[in-house]
Amino acid sequence: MSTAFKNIASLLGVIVVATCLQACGKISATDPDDTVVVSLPQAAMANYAENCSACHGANGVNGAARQLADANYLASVGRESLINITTNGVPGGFCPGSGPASLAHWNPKQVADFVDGLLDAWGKNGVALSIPWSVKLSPAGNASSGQAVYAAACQSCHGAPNFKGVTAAGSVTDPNYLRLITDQGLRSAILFGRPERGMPGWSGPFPHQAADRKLSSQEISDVVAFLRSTASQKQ
Amino acid sequence: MFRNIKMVGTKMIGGLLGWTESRSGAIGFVQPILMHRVPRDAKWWYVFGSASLMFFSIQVVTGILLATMYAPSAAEAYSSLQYIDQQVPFGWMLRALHAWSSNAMILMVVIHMSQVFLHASFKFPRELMWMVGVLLLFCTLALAFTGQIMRWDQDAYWGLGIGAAIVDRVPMLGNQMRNVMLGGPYIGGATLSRFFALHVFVLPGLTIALIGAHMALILKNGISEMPKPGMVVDPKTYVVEYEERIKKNGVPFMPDAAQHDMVFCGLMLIIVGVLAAYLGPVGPNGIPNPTIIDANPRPDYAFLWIFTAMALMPPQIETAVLLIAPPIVVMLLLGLPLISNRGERAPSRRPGAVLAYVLIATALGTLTWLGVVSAWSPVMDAWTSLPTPVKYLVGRTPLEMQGALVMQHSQCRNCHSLGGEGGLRGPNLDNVGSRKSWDQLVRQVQQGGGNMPAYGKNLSSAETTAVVAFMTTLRNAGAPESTIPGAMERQSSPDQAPTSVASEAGK
Ligand code: HEC
Ligand code: HEC
Ligand code: HEC
Repeated sequence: MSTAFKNIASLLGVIVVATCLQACGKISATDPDDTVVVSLPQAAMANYAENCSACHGANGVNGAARQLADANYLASVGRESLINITTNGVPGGFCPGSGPASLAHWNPKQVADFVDGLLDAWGKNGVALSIPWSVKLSPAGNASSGQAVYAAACQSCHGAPNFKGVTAAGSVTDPNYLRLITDQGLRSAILFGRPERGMPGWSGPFPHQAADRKLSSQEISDVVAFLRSTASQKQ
Repeated sequence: MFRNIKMVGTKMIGGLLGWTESRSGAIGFVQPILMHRVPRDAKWWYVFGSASLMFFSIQVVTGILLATMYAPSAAEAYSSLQYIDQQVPFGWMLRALHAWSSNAMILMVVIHMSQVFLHASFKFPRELMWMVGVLLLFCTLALAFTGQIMRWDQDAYWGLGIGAAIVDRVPMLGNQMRNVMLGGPYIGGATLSRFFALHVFVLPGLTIALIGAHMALILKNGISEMPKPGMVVDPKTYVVEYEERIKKNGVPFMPDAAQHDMVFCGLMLIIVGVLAAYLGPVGPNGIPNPTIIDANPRPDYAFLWIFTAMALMPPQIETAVLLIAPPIVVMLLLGLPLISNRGERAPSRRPGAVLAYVLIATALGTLTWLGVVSAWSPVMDAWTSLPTPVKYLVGRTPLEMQGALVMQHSQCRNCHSLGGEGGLRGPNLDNVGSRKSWDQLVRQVQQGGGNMPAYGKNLSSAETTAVVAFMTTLRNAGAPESTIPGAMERQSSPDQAPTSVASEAGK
């Protein structure tokens, strides 16, 4: 009888203590001081992990889509375009951003806070390129001049156009590949490279070229136009 | 003066009734139905059948109204539902009533059936009533399934996809049956027209005919009494004895027994009305496109247990179970009164039957509950929050990298895990490249199977090619260790893609 009573008493004790702990936890979580302390970059990183990391990689590198943790890249794209892409995603590409297709559905303020957090975390001391990032601001490309650029700068790694065999970096003239990536995606890849994968950016080093040889904005447009033309040739 | 008018009035009504009766025999027809004698103890236990009938009538009325506004075409179904919800005054309430009374009807039918089973009311001479009742159960479920398709949303799409995948497994005939069901190899406009015809013409017609038969049999055989231990059913003497007892102790259905029915039906009506008003219509949940999953797609409650059972079953036995189990279940249900049509009726004297009931009810309940909370339902945010494991990206070609993006973007990872992260609904894909050939992978993605939706035309040929190219690189043993630049030993050329993929998906 008395042991049963003791058991019940101790059980009650445990329950009371647990409730107290839980209540304390609740109180501190809603403590206004706590919510203020969370810094913007931290919130941005959590949002990044939840909504972008799957494709752009944990911590902004080593994802299947381009690396975003790249100060020069962020500086070149600029806050306004980043906000635009984050709001709407990339039309015609696989990037949902925080737009309607995503699970995020951020409002403009959340987007702006997120981009500022991103710039704060990964964009410090970034230097913008001297040539435009945006396809819209770049000169129109010429496919036949692009062919020469491709042969000189790209072929050694990516193989001759429409070459089906094994190449060091895989084909970029595969028509299926070209149907999945946007012109901006191609331009960004050539401008900034994919450093984590060994793809050099606009300033090289490209094999068979002088070390200080850089591609011009025009040459990049040409090579993109050339890549597009290989796909249409095939069909 | 006043009295005169009243008299004339009564006379006129009487005359009108007499005129109608002499020409139609309607009263002569209805009277025995209303006045037939039922056992005195037939009280609250017997209200569920009537409630099922009431909910069916509500379905018919609300259904006819909905059919006047609903556009049964793939392009317009979704927007016509939104129109009903938002523009038609109380249109949302109409949809809500239709949906909730359908759920209520299934519940009532199941309770009614449980009561009949536990009280062994299906024994002699009511075997046929039970069989017709079982057919009515199937009609009710079929109406619910086809009704859920009418929403033409995510849930509908996935419900159909799984249904089609089941049909597809029938040996030899599977493909044709799937084409008949869907009106083509994929879910499309023709599918909706087919299911609309089933939902508003074929199934309701069949149900009404079966309800008629069920009622006629009730009149013929009478309602069973409450079972008493020791009171055994013997086909030789039962009918005479029953009739004697009913003559002595029975009461006319109207008004004695009907009172209980009316009170209960009224109560149910209020509950369903309140539910409908508070919870609103069901769906539509997002446009049907497996590449945009915004809601957690699952079938309606009545079918949730099937979904869970499929998720739990080891894939090796799935086909066998799917093809063999349904006919056995149907035969058992239909044949039950033939297996045992005499003897004790009281549950206390039929422990085996009670045990079987408890087991089946627990199993269905547990499966349904698991379906609600299951870990193998998709992880909805996996596609944006779980990075493709870095080791699966090393040394991949640009096309394969795009394939990895398709896998994220098309939300495959909501159901499939990579590197231990992702949904558990489908098998993990870490090693899928060594399990399946290029052709098999293409088929799996385009036609689905098991619990996987058919992506069909929702992925372009380039997307299908890319994701399959990526999957062929997923092999435990062969994960290339090369780092770029320098060594790319293996590059699957795009020509590996069978030309049929491109032509099929491009159509
Ligand atoms: C030193 C070798 C090398 C050279 C030279 C080179 N690339 Fe690359 N490139 C790579 C590697 C490595 C990758 C990464 C492949 C992968 O991971 O899928 C790559 C990737 C790419 C991609 C795909 C990017 C993406 O995100 O899908 C494009 C497009 C591309 N290169 C274009 C070019 C063009 C155009 C040139 C010439 C101006 C060029 N590359 C020169 C090595 C090179
Ligand atoms: C489903 C995968 C996926 C998710 C999730 C995703 N992205 Fe993207 N993102 C891509 C792809 C693929 C591209 C390249 C599209 C193209 O150009 O073809 C891209 C492109 C971008 C670009 C432009 C790159 C350039 O210069 O061309 C930015 C900026 C970007 N994403 C930011 C984000 C942000 C911010 C988020 C989270 C809110 C996000 N992305 C979520 C796949 C994704
Ligand atoms: C709703 C959840 C779901 C989604 C989304 C999904 N799958 Fe599946 N998948 C499954 C299930 C369940 C199975 C097991 C099918 C069976 O038992 O036959 C499966 C099987 C597979 C298989 C065969 C695996 C094997 O080892 O037999 C492949 C390959 C596959 N899925 C690829 C994909 C791809 C690629 C996507 C995205 C385009 C995708 N799945 C999207 C649920 C899903």
